[in-house]
Amino acid sequence: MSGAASPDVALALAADEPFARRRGGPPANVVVGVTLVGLVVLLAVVSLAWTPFDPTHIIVSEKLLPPLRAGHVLGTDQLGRDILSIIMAGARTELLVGVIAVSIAMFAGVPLGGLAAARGGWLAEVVMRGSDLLYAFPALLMAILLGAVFGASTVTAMVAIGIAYTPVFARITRAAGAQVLQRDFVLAARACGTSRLAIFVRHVLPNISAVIIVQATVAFALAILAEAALSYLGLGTQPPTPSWGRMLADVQSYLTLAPLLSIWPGLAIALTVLGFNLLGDGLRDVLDPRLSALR
Amino acid sequence: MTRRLGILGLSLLVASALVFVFLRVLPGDPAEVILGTRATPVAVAQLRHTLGLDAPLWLQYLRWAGGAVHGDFGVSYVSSASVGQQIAQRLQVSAPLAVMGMVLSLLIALPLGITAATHHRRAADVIVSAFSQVGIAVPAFWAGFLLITLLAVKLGWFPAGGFGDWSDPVGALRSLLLPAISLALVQGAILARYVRSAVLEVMREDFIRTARAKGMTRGQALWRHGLRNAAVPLVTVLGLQWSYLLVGAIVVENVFYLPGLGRLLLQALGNRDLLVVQGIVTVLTAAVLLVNFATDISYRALDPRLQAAS
Amino acid sequence: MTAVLEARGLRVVVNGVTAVDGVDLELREGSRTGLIGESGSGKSLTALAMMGLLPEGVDATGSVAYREQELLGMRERDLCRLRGDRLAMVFQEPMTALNPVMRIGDQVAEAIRLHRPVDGHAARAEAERLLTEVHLPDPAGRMRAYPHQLSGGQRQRVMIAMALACGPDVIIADEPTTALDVSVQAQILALLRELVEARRMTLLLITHDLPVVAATCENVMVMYGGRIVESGRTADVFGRPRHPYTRGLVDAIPDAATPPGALRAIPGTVPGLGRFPSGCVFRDRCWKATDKCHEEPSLTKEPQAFACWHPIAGGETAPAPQPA
Repeated sequence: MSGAASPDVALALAADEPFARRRGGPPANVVVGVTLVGLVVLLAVVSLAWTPFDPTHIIVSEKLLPPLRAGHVLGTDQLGRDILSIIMAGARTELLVGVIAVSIAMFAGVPLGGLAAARGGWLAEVVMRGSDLLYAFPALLMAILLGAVFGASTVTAMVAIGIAYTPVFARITRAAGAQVLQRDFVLAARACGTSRLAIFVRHVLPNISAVIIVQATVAFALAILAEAALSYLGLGTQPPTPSWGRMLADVQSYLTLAPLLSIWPGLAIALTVLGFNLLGDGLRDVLDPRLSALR
Repeated sequence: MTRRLGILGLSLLVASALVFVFLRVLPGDPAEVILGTRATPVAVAQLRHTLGLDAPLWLQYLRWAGGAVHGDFGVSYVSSASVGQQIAQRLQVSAPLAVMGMVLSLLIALPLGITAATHHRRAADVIVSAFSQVGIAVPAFWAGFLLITLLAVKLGWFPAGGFGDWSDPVGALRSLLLPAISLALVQGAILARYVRSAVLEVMREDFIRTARAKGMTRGQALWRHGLRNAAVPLVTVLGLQWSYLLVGAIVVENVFYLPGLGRLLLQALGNRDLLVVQGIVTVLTAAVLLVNFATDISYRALDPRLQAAS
Repeated sequence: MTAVLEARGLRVVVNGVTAVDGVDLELREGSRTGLIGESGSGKSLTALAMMGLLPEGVDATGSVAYREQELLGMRERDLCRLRGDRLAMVFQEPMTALNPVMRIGDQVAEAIRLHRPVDGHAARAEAERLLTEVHLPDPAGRMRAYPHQLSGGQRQRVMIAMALACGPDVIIADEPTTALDVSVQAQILALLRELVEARRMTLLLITHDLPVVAATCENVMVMYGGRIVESGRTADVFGRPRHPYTRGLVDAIPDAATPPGALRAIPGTVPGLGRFPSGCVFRDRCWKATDKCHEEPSLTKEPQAFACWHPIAGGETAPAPQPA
């Protein structure tokens, strides 16, 4: 776009911006996102204390019941286990994976990126090249290989996903951090003799927190999708720990007999991921003025 | 050009070396696995020697790489079949699947993205954005389940799984169609967003205004001037999404019981069939690197400004 | 002489802000008119509104008529037939105004084929002829060149060639020389004048640069805050301005005799869009403002029209400049 457009024309063009804020309360996508995420968290928390039935309790005589039969709101699976209970307990697993994986990625990536931003030079080059290399390798493939090497379990999945997403956080921290470090108040702090670490924690972090938070919600959603795929392949959460992905693997042979079985776990995954994505989008819009300054 | 080819070769070398080393970290000695219950220390040592597993790591790698350049990926410890042959056979399924997935995703994303951009902030835009959001959230393999349930089980238009072979091309295509659509729905949803923003970006350019001043309608201006300029960022995105598509194909193969590279990989991992895993991961990496290379070259063809720079 | 293009009460509102506030404008056949204004005066939007090229979501009200045909509200399809064929526009930034991935020759030929039923071959031949007409060096070679391979001045010649392709009645040039080097500016202006005279076209030249208008146009309109504040023959308006703003503009031009440090700026700055005062838009910067100026002055009648309650008379000048 021509930078030499006169202000009146520029104003007219700006009116065309896709992200012009809508008036009248939070945008629809944020509301939906928060609702969905809230629902999942609620289910997970409640399941810690109570589920309608024991999700691991097998009653073969009650297998494949349709919904709303004998107290099973969503019916039972091929081994007579209550589907709603499994979904609720599975929510725990998914959220746990999300939290741990994103935490690993953040606590590894942010300091690395911050280091690269602050020190620069060959250290930064090494870190960023390494992170680029890691980033280029598809996360799921890496998780599959790691799962095979170290044995399949929820922990392996979490760690593998966390490692795979570390480069993302390293990158944005480096980019945003480098910008903040050039601002005047940072120079002033350096002049006062504040240590580099203190500067990072007290000045840089608060200013880049918006970008990181948004990235974290997106990474959360991706982590859940990755765990679902891993568990489906048998390389993630192992029985008896409930997992939505593994549920889908279990019901695969019953697609013709009881198609409904595959709907619930898949829907659970999709809605959770959708919720976090919308939340992330909404957060990005809300924090936008600061984000665009840092982009 | 030669420089780029050189970089391509080097990357391939480095990547395969990394995978090689990584796989040797695998707990579990292949020799022990092969011998199973007959694994006495003497027998194991002998077998390790025969298989060349006692040589230093770098030597083992060089031997493998030397063979790989000629298409000889070694012989599987587990099945005694040629790794190269196994891979080639599986590629007959996986390669068409991946390509079909990519093509279908473009067929979905381009019209949707363009429509959303030209109806910016009106009903069509909102609908497309909603579809995008949903498509991104849905796991590709679950989309496969839904498609099977709907189109294979209920309507019987497509087989629910399995794959014959290419001597029956129509049947083969029918077997690949549902899996490809599962992949394409998710990829298409992602791409549609990028298409939309690329088109919106391009429509704001000055030369679109010039085109309209010449007497073109918005649509004509977009078609004749906009798309070619929007192609560069789109090609970039396509290149980036390609590796995700490949990995998605691995998962989807399991849904449809397709005898492709994905299922071979999982089997081999379970059997500690190192050479097969090595071969597959190398082939996958090569596929990604090749596509990156292709997108790089295409930039120069698409944007004449870059030709001058090189 | 008839009015080829005229606007009556043209109003353009952007995001609730009135950027063009009731502009009346008349271009007589074969005339060369300048539209002077600083950034934010609304001059570019006026031009875009007349051509129907306003961005999405920005609308114009009032009337714009080309040879008695009402353009505002005309169907896009019909408007497209007029644009490029009868009404042409040249823009400010030739680098971004040309498609970077398309050859020059193809872009010019396209302008022809949009309105004339000729084949590619004939169109390209005509395109080459046009490039010669605008004095582009090595026109045959340039046909296959890309925009980034040309200099700024050369690109602008191409833009002019595209505008002339179908022999339009009216050319609107929006800051055609602002992005060019000073030496090239004079060449392009001379080219414009030569072509407009030779083809008997009507020219509307939009710029913020008074000498440009003085050299090229016989009539001028001065715009401020979305309104026309003065208009008439260039010699009269620049020689004996009636509106204080025009006076200020003219005084602000340094010449060789201006001693250092004595630049005469108009006090204050142009307010942002939407922040112009009510009544007379210039009153908060005008040394002659009184309470009367809270009432919007209307444009007087021709030949030298102005919108001011206290027009300048005789040799009156603005008070001595304040230190910058």
